Amino acid sequence: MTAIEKTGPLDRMERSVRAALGIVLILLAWGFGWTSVEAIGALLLGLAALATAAAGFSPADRMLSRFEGLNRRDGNRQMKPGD
Amino acid sequence: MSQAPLLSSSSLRDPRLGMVWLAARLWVGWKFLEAGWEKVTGSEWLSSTEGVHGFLSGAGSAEATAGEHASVSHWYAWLVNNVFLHVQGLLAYLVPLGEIAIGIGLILGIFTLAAAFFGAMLNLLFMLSGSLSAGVNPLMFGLELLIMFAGAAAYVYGVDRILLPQIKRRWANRSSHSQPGAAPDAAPLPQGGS
Repeated sequence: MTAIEKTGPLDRMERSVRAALGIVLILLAWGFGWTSVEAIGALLLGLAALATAAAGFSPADRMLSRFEGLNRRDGNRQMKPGD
Repeated sequence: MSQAPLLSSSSLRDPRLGMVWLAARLWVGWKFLEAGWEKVTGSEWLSSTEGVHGFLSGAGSAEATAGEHASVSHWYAWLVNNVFLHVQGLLAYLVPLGEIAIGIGLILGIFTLAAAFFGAMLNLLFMLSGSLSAGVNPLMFGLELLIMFAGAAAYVYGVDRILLPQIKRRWANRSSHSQPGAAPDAAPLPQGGS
């Protein structure tokens, strides 16, 4: 299990993916009728996708990469004999 | 990603698509959780086997396999009548509890790929029973296959991103301890050949 190399900043490709996903999710929320659980979930995730695309930064990646850092310090690197 | 064709398996595994897989996981997981919860809280599945009996009887009936474009194939109807109906008491528990476990697994990203696999199997069984649920079952099945193809990218935003390295590390430590004369945890790996 190698660490997933995502620490927060988003490149152009990921920003485009998130922008497209955000638009699709907001359209889905409209299709679901705005008030159902699926619609609210799609709306929240769509807004988060658009916000992170606009900011070019993902706080979730930053937080998770810190945990991964703890994993690595804890001895995960032993799993890669080629290192 | 820029080197790979747009829809190759390696492009699906790109961690930058993590949020796409998160959206797919949340929707499929919610549908499973909703279906499982309805069965657990409803009276027809757990208190009696009426729910599962009705579903299986419909799938195994002569009407379902009749005609040129039957909704259930003959071999599956045989399987329902000769196997599934005999263990309907067990299935009445396994199906709703499995649906809830798959739903939680996909939503939180715990053992994501296993949850997607078992979810796909469950959806496949429903589809073979002639239940398309207004196209939801085939859509869920397709998304679960894509989640499995995505591999580690499917749990970029999930508990597995933290959990799986821990499990793997503990497993590696345990197997090194179980070997006689194994080196301690922090011992460096031997360098060079032979």
